[in-house]
Amino acid sequence: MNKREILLILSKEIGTDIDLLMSLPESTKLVDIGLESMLFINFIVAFEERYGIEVLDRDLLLSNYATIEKLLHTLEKYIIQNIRNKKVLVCDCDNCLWHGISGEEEINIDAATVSLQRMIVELYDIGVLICLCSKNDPNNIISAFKTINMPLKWEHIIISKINYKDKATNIVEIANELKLSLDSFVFIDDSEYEIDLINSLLPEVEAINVNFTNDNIIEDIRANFNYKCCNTQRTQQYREQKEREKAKANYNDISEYNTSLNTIFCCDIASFEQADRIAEISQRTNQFNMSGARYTKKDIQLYISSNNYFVLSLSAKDRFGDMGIIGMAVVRREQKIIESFCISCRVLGRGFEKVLLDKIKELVGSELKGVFLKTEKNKHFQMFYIENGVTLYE
Amino acid sequence: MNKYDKILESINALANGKQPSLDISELLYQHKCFYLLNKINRDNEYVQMMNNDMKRDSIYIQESYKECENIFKILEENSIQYAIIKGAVLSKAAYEGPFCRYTKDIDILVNKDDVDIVKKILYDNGFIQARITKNGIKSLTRKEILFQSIFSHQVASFIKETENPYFSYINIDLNTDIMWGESDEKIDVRFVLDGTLSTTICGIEVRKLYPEIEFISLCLHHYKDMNSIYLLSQGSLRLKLFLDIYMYIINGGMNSQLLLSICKKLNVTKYIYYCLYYTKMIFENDKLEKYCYDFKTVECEQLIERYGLSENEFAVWKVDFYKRLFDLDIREYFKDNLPMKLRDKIALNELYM
Repeated sequence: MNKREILLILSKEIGTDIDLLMSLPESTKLVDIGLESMLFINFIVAFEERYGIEVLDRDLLLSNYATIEKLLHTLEKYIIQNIRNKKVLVCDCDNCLWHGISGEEEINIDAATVSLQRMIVELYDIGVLICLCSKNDPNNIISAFKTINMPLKWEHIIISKINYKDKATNIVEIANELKLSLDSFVFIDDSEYEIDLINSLLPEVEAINVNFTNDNIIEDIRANFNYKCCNTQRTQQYREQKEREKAKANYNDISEYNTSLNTIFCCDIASFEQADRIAEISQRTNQFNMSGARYTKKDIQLYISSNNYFVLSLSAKDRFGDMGIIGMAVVRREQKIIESFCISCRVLGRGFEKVLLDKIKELVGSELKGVFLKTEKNKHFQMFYIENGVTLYE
Repeated sequence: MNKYDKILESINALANGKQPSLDISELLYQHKCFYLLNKINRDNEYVQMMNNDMKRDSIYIQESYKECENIFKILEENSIQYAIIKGAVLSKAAYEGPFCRYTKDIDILVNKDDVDIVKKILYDNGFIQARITKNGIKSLTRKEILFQSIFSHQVASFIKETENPYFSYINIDLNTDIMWGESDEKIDVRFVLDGTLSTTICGIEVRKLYPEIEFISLCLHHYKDMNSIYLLSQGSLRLKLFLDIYMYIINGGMNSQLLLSICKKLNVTKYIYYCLYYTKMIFENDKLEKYCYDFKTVECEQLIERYGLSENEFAVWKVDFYKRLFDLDIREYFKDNLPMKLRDKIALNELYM
């Protein structure tokens, strides 16, 4: 499937029939089928626009595109990344982030563990939430972070479960605290026992055995994350959300608590600069995603510039911090159809969806219709449109 | 004595601390040989222009290194291998300090695998990939960025605006190889970056290459300037290239046998010999003479009269070295001597570089 997708883009650039390309042996040199320098650049740009991604510089080596086989090998992972959208990496510590068991023996890092840690920091930088899950004493693990000079720092970690509970229970706790589903998780551990446990009890979690004799281990882990969906503030935003959860405990009544937050909204027609984040919300939101539509940045930019559509963004800040853009909608103007309506799961239960819907009504008027495609994850919100005067659009 | 002999005599006089018989101020200014021009005991318009340029450059170097200090710290903290090449670092190694060469940017050599991380660090520190136009900074298109990443040894330039009245922008170039983009021979950059040295520029600690590797990097860069059809058409063949090589031989503190051994390992001996050969055509010096003798091989000799960087570009010069260095309008020369395909390549480079 991926091969056809990639070669279809290539066929358009070099003006060759797709079936002919598909029939060629994968050892065929691309230069022999007419892919020269400028056409190659055009092809990469077309590929990037199709999937809303940017090919990393490390993959922009001509040798990676010498043959059809090499081209597919280099680019397939971007398609897979586009489909896979993991948000959380849970890491074991001993014999994974470093060699040795902290508190029992001297631990050390080498080129392999440094590479792994640097990759984890890279993931942190693109907004992946980094957690620890280790069977050890917390003081031993914290001490390791403090005493060894290594790329991964304690400040990169959003949640740590360092105890002697089974790791499946710990990962479920992390998922509940982050309010994210288990299929957003990748778990890495050196122990085959732990990997088997997670595979058995939490099959939605992508569990990867860290074995440094595997030359591709870094790539195997990295391939689960979408580098284009980049939110460098995500970890900070989750920390602020944790503060909100803590503060909630001090109130008897949820509306009293919500009032105490002094939330300020900004809900308006989206600008071009917001396209990236709006696309990201559509791709990452599963629960309050009414139609399930997934957009690329390019798609959103086209809708923004179209006279037939409204694109709306909803952002908010409160006394804990700026949450950024946390909601989006795509509305067909004349027909008054809400084609897409998403609210970030981080802010559910605060009435933000009403703010967004009220803005749509203000712009478009009443007699709204909304697209709703029921899934396992959004079924809790299936009455939202009906309860708020929006007819379901078939 | 022909006119070139008098020029060479004057250049060598300055290089040896004497005053030249011919006033070559204009030539030295045009060829950006500020170090030699500064030695002339004369106060003419070229010396004045040079003083202004060097004052501006020294401020640029000080301010840009200060501005980039955080970037260097982050690279260090994250164990990302890098080295500053050319520019102020080269000036400090070969000349009398960091401000003796014309410098307009900071060149950083990194592994290709690290480019994405380093790009992120630069973005986070206010840089964008752009070009400087007369109307200000213009962001590069994705095609322009891809062109450089794929076909050159450099990633498209990173620019950051400043509020300094002397210079409006800081320019960082990320290099991913010390060989040129068109070359089929690639050098293992991990080997090059393995074991860098610490140095300070204006109080800012940075990493640089070991002297022998730094010299190889310098020669390969200058070889490209002497042979790239595109760069030659932009006026890259200048005396300053040979002055850099000469000064590094004199002051760089290299071990010549170690240098030769590394050149053989990296398979670049012929390019280094080319640079030494033409530097010797300008500067008279026993040490330089010895280097040429030690590096000479039959394979080296084959390059001498040639230009171009790849098999389908090679051609033989029809004019002698001194003429093409001091007198020739190379663009005009190429109009009569380059096939259309290569003239198209120049046009393509002008569009995307």
